[in-house]
Amino acid sequence: MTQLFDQSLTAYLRDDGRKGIRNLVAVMAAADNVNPLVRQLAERVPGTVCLPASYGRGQMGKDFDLALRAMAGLAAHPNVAACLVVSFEPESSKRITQRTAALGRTVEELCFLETGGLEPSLAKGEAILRRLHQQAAAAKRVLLSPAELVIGLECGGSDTTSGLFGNPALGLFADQLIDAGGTAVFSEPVECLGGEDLLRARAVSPAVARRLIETVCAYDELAKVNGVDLAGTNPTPDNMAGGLTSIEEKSLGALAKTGSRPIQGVLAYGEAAPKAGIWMMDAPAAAVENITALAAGGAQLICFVTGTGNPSGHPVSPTIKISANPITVTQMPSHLDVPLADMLEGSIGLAQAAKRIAARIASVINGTATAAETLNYLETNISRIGPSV
Amino acid sequence: MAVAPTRAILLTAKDDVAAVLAPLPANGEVSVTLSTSGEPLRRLTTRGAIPFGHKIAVRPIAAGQKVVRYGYPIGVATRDIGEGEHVHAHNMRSLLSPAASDGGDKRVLHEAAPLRELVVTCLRAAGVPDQAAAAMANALTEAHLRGVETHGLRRLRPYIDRIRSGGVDAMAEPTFEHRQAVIRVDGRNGIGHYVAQRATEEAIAAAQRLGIAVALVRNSNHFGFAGYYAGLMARAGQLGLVTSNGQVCVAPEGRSRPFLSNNPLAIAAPTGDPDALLELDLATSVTSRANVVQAAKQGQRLPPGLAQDDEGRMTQNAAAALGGSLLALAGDRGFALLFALEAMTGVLAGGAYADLVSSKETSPNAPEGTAHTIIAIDLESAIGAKDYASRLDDMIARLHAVPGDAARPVRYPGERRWRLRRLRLHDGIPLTRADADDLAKLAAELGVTATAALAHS
Repeated sequence: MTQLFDQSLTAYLRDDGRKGIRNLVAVMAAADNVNPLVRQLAERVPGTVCLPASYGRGQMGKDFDLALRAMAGLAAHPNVAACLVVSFEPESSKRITQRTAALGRTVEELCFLETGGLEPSLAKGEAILRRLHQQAAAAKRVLLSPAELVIGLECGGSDTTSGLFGNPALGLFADQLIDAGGTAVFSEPVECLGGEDLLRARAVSPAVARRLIETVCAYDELAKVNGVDLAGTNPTPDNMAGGLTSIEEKSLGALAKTGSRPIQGVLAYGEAAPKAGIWMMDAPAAAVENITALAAGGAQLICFVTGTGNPSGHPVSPTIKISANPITVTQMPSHLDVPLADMLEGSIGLAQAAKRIAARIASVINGTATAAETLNYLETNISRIGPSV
Repeated sequence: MAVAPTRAILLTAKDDVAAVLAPLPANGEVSVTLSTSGEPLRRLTTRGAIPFGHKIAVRPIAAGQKVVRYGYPIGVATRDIGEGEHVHAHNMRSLLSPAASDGGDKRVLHEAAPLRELVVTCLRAAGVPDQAAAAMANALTEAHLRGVETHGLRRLRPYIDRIRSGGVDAMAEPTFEHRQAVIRVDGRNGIGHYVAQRATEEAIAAAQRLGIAVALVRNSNHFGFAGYYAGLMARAGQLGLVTSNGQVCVAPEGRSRPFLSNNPLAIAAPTGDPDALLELDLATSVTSRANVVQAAKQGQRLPPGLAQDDEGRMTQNAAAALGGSLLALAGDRGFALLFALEAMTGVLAGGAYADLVSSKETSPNAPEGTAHTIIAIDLESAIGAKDYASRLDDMIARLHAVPGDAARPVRYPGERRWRLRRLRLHDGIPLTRADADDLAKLAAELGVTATAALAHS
């Protein structure tokens, strides 16, 4: 069997046994009321990843649970060497640190009220962050096996080339990764509507098939409650002009990025896969929310196929952009990591395209910055599934 | 040097369609290339122009056949598609979208009387005695006249299959035991339509004498749509109420096993117009099981909130719903209504009740043991038939006079059914070609000539 990667892989070993491909120091807001403090801290200590909160106050039920799971997942992410969780009152950071502890990682805490307002918090926080950076710098890379890899699979700004080339190429790589013992996570259940036959055929068990289909249907129901008939409005007129005839076809095109291996189960938003193989995560399709979910679930990197060109990357999980659209490849080269326009010309086939993706992944794992990292086009945002009170 | 033809990418070897990588004119040449191997498989000539990225059929696809891409069905062909043809919305549709009008779904009108005669002839050929054959044929034809297609001719084959397998005794005559206003009926596992019709007739006659009568039927079988029997009483100048149990399909919310059938509740009464009855007829589940069977057959998804899978979780998958359960209408209150209805049906009639009713699907040869409760209130004994009809007409008129959007008229129960019935008696019964073909095939199997009834008009 040929090697999946053309070079040996290295990564940083964390306390919980997972390995990270970056050695980040992050500062995270437990709620939006400390975002100003968190932003200023990140500015004071260059190289610090800033993870502001979108909400965090007045959340409840499943929505609150999702937010805490995702925040803990990001704070305890293997790419994060150390994280400072900043809160207004101690309870709100405790909720996160309890969860990171359960995940086997320790994080630092800073409380605005206990420290006595902005200036003392800035001083204290800066000192903590500088210490964390020093400690992180001592970490050394060790060998990483493909079986220790968790990769997120995403597509956005999809077009005809995505379903024909970009997604099948990523799907082939995903199969190779799974065969090498690795883990892959895709999401966007809403883009599986009409792909139920495939989900049923690929689910590892009938019970998993039911969970998959139920998860997909829940989005359809949610849309209907809000007056949107997804099956009736898809494919869109643009899709139709591009040659898509049915929602099944659109969904199968999106699912092509997931390859062909048995689907192990459904993960909650930001939940880590309990074992190797390919998994579906219950997260919405909007790119930033989606890559945030995949990152929170512990994906060390995300492969993102785009047709017309989606620029977003996640600050914690390096996001590799793949496109087979010749116009995008020509017009937005700085946003792309893996151009595949030559698939359309016919000069490379699926196997070579998958190999090109693997080569770029290996290089990103070993430290090369992704296009989104270089451009600093990075964003994080956790989904909401309920209102605040 | 010859220019290489445009490639058409075939994503899996199973696929019926490939995507062309350049816009092509009619009679253009493409090289079909398998995505996974990159190998050119064969050359193909386009029939008609095909835009960039659009699909070309790599083999003929018959109308009604599923179209496969990515190794899975992406829809169904709505007409015969030839090799090399452009495949798009003009000749293919999603399996999730409601059936568009195409060959298989096109409806042709059939006169009611010959259709009824054909059913009678088929049943006789299957060994059913005349009276029972007439009872079933009447109920099936009335289902189509009133737009209750789910309880119509499509059921003829399964009914006949069950008679032939010995699950139903076509020769059985029900027995009647009169105790004042109560008639205890033993269906003796006879044909449900016949048993129910006979019981209804007994109830009508008894109510004419006594003012009210109730027929409690046990050991019967599926009797079609309940409104039919309630309507028989209404047309005899009575107020009729009918309920029945049947195959279990409704689970308590969040429970994994169905416990009750969706006992229909039918109430019918005469208005001043002999061809317009009040006819309430509802399954007490949020939808009828027949609708779910139909959705499963057509590969359509159910609307949300109707059904649970076999683990008690909500599902929109029709097949999963068939293996699971339906929900009662109006949640817990509907389930309570259902429970009480069963207490006045299977329990009261001395027949099988709740989950003791045998399943046609799991034990096709065992008697179902279905129970019906049929109540007739004679209107002469009450307020007087004439007075009743005029009061009901007044209530209907007052309902119609409630102000609101004229484009969305408010209807009383039965209004649509009986309007359809008038229309269809005049114009004919619309049957899909597929349904007409199925019926013709059944007739042929039974050695019956169906041409008169099923001639495509």
